[in-house]
Amino acid sequence: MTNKHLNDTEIQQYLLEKTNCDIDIIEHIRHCAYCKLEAEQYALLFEGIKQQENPIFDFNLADLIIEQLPKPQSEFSGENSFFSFIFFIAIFFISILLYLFGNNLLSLFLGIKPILISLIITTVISILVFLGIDMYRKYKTQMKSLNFY
Amino acid sequence: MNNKKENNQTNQTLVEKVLNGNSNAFSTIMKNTEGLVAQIIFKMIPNSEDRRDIAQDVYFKTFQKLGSFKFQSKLSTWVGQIAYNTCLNYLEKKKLILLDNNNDSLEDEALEILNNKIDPFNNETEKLIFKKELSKILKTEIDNLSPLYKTLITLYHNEELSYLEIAQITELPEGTVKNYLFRARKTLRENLLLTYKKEAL
Repeated sequence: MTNKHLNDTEIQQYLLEKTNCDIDIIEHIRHCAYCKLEAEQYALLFEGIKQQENPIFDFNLADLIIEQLPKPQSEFSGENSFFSFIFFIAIFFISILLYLFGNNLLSLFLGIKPILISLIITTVISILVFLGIDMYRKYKTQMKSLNFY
Repeated sequence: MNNKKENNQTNQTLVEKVLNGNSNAFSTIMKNTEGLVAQIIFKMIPNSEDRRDIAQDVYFKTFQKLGSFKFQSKLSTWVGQIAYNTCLNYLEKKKLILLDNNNDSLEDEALEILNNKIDPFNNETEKLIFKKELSKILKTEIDNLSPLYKTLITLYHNEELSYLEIAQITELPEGTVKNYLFRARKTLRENLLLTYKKEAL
């Protein structure tokens, strides 16, 4: 048994973690009136804290939130609609261009060798794909930084 | 263990329902966690008018982030973490102190009063009076603690959360949580006795 008075940490440990408490601490409290009194004060304090009223909101939080919630959309459908929008805009403009300048464009390409045309098309598509990927990455990073808690 | 597994499954079902657009399921999540969220907000936010906005903010964030919840902790712990972080942001914005270490140690005058002979446990009558007044004094003394101490005490003693769960909510190491809790209880006990003795003198 320890002869020195227990410190606050040991007394708290005795009350809250009795199973893990050192046998010397238990023995000391059994025989020391001073530490026993301290333990009693702590026990009373813990009892008092437990008896404190739980706070409640003075408004109906669930109703307030539910009526303001947006309809949940999965991440996938959001991305889909974004790409669909871009796709339709592109188709629309290409159709107009073809309708207005179709014949001119055809005569323009007739004079060029097919290998050169395919080279131009491949380059343009590659650049567009890289730009698109970069744009999407930037968009995702920005959304992530906005959506913090 | 089985109970924990069942609880996790229930939470998983609830989360799936919310993600599929079932607002009643979100209402259930709110009912299950509102007590914990209220405890954190009431202990950390001194201004009662701001509590309403913060409570709403907590659940909007929960709703937005629900899809990213990985079930690595209890759902309530995760919501508690959002509530704690939201309150922390508020305190930072308002430049309010989360933990005031100066309040931990009593001044000399206070120690003198504490050491004088009026002891609430000296006789049975004193003890009864002290018990009667305890609840009233205790409420005030808890309110006087730093927001972090108040929150930790409430989470441990009222919500009966483990050190690990409190550590997950506050994102503090488990040892730090334990240490802060010991200090918070010590400060609370000293302040409580001091107030009682001051009144008795």
